[in-house]
Amino acid sequence: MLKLDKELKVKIDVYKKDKRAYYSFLILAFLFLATLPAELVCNVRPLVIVVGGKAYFPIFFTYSEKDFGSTLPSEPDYKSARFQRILNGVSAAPSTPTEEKNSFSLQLDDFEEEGLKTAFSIGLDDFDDSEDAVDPPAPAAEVALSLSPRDYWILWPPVRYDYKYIPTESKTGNVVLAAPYRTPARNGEGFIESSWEDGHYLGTDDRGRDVFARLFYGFRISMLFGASLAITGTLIGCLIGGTQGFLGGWVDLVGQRLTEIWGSIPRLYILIILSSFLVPSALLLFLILNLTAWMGIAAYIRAEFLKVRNFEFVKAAKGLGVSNFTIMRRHILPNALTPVVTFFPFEVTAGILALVSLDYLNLGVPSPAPSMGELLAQGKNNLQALWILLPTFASLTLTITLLTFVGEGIRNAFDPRKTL
Amino acid sequence: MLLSVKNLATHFHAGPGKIARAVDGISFDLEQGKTLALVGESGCGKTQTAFSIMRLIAENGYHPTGEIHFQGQNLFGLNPEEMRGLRGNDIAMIFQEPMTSLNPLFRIGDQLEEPLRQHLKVAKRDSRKRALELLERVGIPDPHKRIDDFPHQLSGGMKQRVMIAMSLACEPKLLIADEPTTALDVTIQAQVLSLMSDLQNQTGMAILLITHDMGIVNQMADDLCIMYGGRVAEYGSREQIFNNMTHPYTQRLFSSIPKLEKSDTLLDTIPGLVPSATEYGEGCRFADRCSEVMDICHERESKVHHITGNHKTVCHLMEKGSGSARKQSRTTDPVPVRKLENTPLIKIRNLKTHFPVRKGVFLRVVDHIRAVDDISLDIPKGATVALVGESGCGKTTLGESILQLVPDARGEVFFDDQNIMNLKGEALKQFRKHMQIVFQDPFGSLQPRMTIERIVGEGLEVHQPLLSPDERSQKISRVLEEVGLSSSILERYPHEFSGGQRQRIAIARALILEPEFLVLDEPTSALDVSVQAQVLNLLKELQSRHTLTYLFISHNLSVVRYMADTVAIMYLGRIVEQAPVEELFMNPRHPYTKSLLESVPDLEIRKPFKPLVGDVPSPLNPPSGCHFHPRCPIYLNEEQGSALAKNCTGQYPEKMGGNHSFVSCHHAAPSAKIQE
Repeated sequence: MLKLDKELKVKIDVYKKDKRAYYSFLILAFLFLATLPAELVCNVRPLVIVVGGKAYFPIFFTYSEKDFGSTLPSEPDYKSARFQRILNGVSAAPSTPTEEKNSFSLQLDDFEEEGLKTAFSIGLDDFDDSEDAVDPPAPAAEVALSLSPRDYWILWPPVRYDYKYIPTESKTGNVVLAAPYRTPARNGEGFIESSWEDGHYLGTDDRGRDVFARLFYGFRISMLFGASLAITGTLIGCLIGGTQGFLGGWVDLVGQRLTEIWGSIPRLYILIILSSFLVPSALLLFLILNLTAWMGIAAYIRAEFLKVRNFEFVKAAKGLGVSNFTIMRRHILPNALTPVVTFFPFEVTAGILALVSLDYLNLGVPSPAPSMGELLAQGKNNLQALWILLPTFASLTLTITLLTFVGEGIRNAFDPRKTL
Repeated sequence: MLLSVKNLATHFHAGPGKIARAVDGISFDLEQGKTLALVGESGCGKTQTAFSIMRLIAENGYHPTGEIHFQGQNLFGLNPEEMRGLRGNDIAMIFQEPMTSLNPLFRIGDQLEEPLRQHLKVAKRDSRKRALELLERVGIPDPHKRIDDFPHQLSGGMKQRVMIAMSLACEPKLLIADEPTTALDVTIQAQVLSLMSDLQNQTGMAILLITHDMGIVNQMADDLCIMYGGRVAEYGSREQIFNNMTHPYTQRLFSSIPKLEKSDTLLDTIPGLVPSATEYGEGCRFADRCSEVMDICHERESKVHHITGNHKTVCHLMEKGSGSARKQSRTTDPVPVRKLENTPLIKIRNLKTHFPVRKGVFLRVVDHIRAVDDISLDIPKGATVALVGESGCGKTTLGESILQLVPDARGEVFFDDQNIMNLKGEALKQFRKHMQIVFQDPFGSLQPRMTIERIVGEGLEVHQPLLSPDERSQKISRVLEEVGLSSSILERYPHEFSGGQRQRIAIARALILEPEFLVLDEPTSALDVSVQAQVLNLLKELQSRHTLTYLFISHNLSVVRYMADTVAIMYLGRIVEQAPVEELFMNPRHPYTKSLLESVPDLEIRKPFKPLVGDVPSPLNPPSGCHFHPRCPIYLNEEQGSALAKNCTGQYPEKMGGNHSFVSCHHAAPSAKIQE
């Protein structure tokens, strides 16, 4: 398909004339391309650190604290005050309060269970309150052990959080459910500053993770998931529908009945059963959704094949002795592709919505993974936290609407009555 | 004057900066009770003229000039509401394709009653009565039963009758018939045409008949309007034009039609194609294809020359004096000589193709459609055997069964004494290069998404996969040249070509493997007459050059007369008569053959139609005895209970005569015996 044939060119021209569809496509393509390198946009690790003339790229390589002159073999928390002190040449090792904090942050990274969360967030709050009191003496105690201060230079991504990082420190004193605007403090005295102070542009969720970063990563995974589900679904659908339609007769009959039986089993039901004995993961979810994603497209392809296989050029090819598989691939498939192309954007939409609804029901990808559905569920559970609900809702609606516009545009462009 | 069209032009915006001048300044008049035929090849603006009169042209169309007066009223001056009152009421139209012009979701009664209630404000009860009358009038048997049928329950001829009934519902003063019989068999065509002229005699309506078939014109028309490139080439009464064709286009159009008489010369053709409506240049539009072309033709268009009475022509030849214009320019190229052998290349013995009819959840076979029912036929090497019959008689199925394209075929087919029915898998694949097929529809038989090179070369890929790319493209170019196409088209796609060119491509695809046997399945029935003549001549030349053996499937008897050596007439899956072409046309023995020959509209004398009654019965449930007896004029004239009538309903007539000339008819049998 190196050469675009004329017909396709005309269709693309018709599509471009449809302003709404064309701009929807441009916006969607921009959003998708922008979110593809999400690691470079939202990340807790800096893009580049230059310490004493030596460059480090923490996003691409994993370094340990030792590399920066400290003693621990674990990866440093680049955002922590502790890491600042390491860079400043102040060893973080012996002081008790910092030790305590350090162990905290380690726990934090592993931390996932629901139950511990509340207890912990209180602890953090407490800790934040006492921070001013505790911190100053610590460096004083460490001065004795300090190395010489070094020149360092750090380039951060635009958003200094990723989808799973739970911060250990906060300037506003509020980590969990921090609002992106000034709110009255919970005890009624004074105010909590906007989370912009900490660089959370859309606030944080109920575990202290950055909402913007989760949305950003969530959009990417939704698009990738939806698109790949549509691709595999289409491929499987073409294969099954094509075989049924081309061979007809008994194959078609049995295939149709099996498809009907298979289609009448609720997808959610299969998911609940499978997730009870399999460890849920994005890949597993993808495989399970693939079990049913092909059915719509298979029905269309089957109908097209049934129609096209009786065309005279197919008979002519048979008369030449061309093999069945070649006839299907070369003669029928290109003429049966219109529904595939037309339905593709809608299949992507269906894939995204499937993922979102499963995540919303907590049957989707497991917790730290960024997901719009999980954000929606959080928004529902914390209705006061509008900064979670509204942006998620808005970006989901936007994605689906744009995809629908794109799909409509394609459908109109492929409408045979609209050939120019 | 009922209808008077003056200087009508209908143009269309066809993309940026392009204007298609579909109709470009035509004038004609039509009197009450008369029939005017608009004649020309496709793409000459006939249909758009009709749509302009109905004011139903597409949204991108407009009229730069022109007036249409209907009963003294300027149609372009009416508002849409008034126009709607005229359509279907005073002006009615019937379309070419009866299959798609009836709404499949409504019963035909409802569709018939619609114009009655719309225009005549007839009450519901009366409208049904009137609908029944109409159905009876157009000759639909059992109108009481048929009125509640859906369109798919009717045959093509019945549907066209219903269409005519619909258009007659309000007793229109003008009936526009756009190729009303092109999609129908000759026998049904004769039925519909005789119905139309009967109705015209009764109601006195005027008919604007759009057609490309000169035979129909001869039968039906009072006046003729020959159109070319959106303009009138020649205009006059039937006698004036048929006796004195002045425009070269009229002459060539007429002479490119195969005649029912024997002819030793190739058909006259009009070279080239009708120009596209977006590319009309200065001067006469026919100049590029005209054999009498002069310099002045390319410079400007001729003025209108009045000859006698109404007879007008637009041609520069008239300025040189009428004598030179009347010169008939006919090719005298003889038909290329062929070596005719007596040894059969193909021997078919007891071929049966019975399609199973399946019902129920488990697709049990409940019955069989006997599409091909016990046929034996010899096809001599280098000869052309024609299969003739109405649609649904199994001609195409027989052709495809011989080529092993139908899995349900049983029996024996010998190709050079090798039984190819037993071939399977690889052996069959290898054998396919000896026999190829050319289909009827040049638009459906080429894969639209493959280039010409790939379409034509596909056979080589299968059968000679070791060919180097150079050798392959050389072969493709050679075969394209052979069918009269340049090898510069290799990279192009089928939709860029006209019907005739596509059919040439299809022939090239069939020829590239150098087969010995070709099945030609109505190869020209979708083409214009001038293009049909080109393709038929090409087929004749190819046959003599490569000693090809043809099985020529057609329903057009004049084409068969031109092409065939032996003719086999098929009816409901069986051959009812077979004879050498001369013998069959001079002395048809089977009543079905006679009826077929009589149904063909003649070019010379106007004769009353003696149409066959009824349609082809379903091959699922053929009539008892002789399959043809319910429609047979001899049986229908016979007294009930006579010996012959009993025979006809009782048993299928046996073949009478030899292997190469026989007939299956109880009535014709005695005479056949005498001839033996």
